Amino acid sequence: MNPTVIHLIRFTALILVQVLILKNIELGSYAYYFKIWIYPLALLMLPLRLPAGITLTIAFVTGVVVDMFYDSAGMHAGACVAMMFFRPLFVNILEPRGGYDNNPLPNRTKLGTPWFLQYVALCLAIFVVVYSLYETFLFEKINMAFIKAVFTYLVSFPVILLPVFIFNLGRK
Amino acid sequence: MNNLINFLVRFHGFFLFTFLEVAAVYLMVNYNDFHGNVYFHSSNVVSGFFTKKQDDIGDYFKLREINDSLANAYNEYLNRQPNTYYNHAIESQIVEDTLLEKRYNYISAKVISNTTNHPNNTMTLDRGNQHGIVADAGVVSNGSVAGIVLKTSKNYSVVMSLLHRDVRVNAKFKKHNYFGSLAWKGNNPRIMALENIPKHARIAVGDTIVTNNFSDIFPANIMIGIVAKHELPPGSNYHNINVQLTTDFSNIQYVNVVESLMRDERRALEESVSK
Repeated sequence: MNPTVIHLIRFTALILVQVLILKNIELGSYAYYFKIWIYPLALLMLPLRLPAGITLTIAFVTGVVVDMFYDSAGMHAGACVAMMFFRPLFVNILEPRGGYDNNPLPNRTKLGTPWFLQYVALCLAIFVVVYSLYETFLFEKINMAFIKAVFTYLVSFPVILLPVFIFNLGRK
Repeated sequence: MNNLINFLVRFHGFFLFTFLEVAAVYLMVNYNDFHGNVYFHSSNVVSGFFTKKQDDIGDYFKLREINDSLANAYNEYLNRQPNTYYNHAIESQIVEDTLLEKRYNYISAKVISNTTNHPNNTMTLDRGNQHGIVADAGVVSNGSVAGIVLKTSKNYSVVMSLLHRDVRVNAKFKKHNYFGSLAWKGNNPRIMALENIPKHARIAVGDTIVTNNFSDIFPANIMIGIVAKHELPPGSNYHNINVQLTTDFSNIQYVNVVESLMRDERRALEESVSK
């Protein structure tokens, strides 16, 4: 199948899971401290050497779509754009000894599961920190922003890996 | 131009990132009540801070004006003091109030140059003979003696401050009216010597020294200073007295010049007798 179609399907599916299922999980008073994010995985599965102009635009559009459902104009868009802006930096840090091949994908078979876990861990950290800062938005409450970011990270990291291992994403 | 385009292409990711983040914040502030309120509140805090600073700076530059108006008000106050009037009334007359005639008049002036570290120190004032200042007029500062006018021009006058070797001020003890002559010995700018106080006068440290009513330079009972030290040298008929001055000449800013309205009449009379 055409890779573009695969990406479109993956975006649609993950965003639907996010806004139809995860959004409606009843967390009660704990909802103040953490949120569960899964849709950033769709952005992370984009080819690693895609030009910044394309990845940032996709990230912004994705974020705005999620914002529409979450009624949080701009917060997801900002967090997604920040994550995709820093992604090339992490990709370069994690570059294996032999280097990447042409137009590399975040492929678990070629690059290994440890590489994939580190890659997701670093990118997701940027996402949750930026999102928490935008959500808090007050300099006086910056401590609370980081506490929220830590809890969100601890919950979202395992959740974001579930589809990876269930559907064997990133393996060919 | 090429360089500019290269620069933009090379860093397009960063520019796009900045632009999109600004767009995201714009969306937040405009479409979320909470973020909008925070933005509105913070911008009010920031603008309030700058408005306040601007106001403070404006106040600072108005200080000169305020200072001048205070100096004028103080001069007006001095002019209402009883010791600036010559009392025409004699003992037998009962109604005194309507017979007060002005004897001294104060003229406010600003010190525009001043020294304290020379053997003969002078001050320059920004008022001259067109304002009524004449040579030999007394100068007071904050209600205590500061000096004597040496020479005047149209708009300026030079004052020998008390820290001048030629200054002799006729001074007396406020408590028992023993009088002497006050002179500066040229070392400490806060200490002057009071001479010719006879040895039978009882004096103590802390006694107040004021101007004498014999002089036509200063009104009577203007503060000069207090006794800081006194001793009676063996075989002498006069005390050695050090007077601590009330006026601090190192930070003097505004003074009031005493215009003695009846001086000419008095001096003409005294000269005609001494001939």
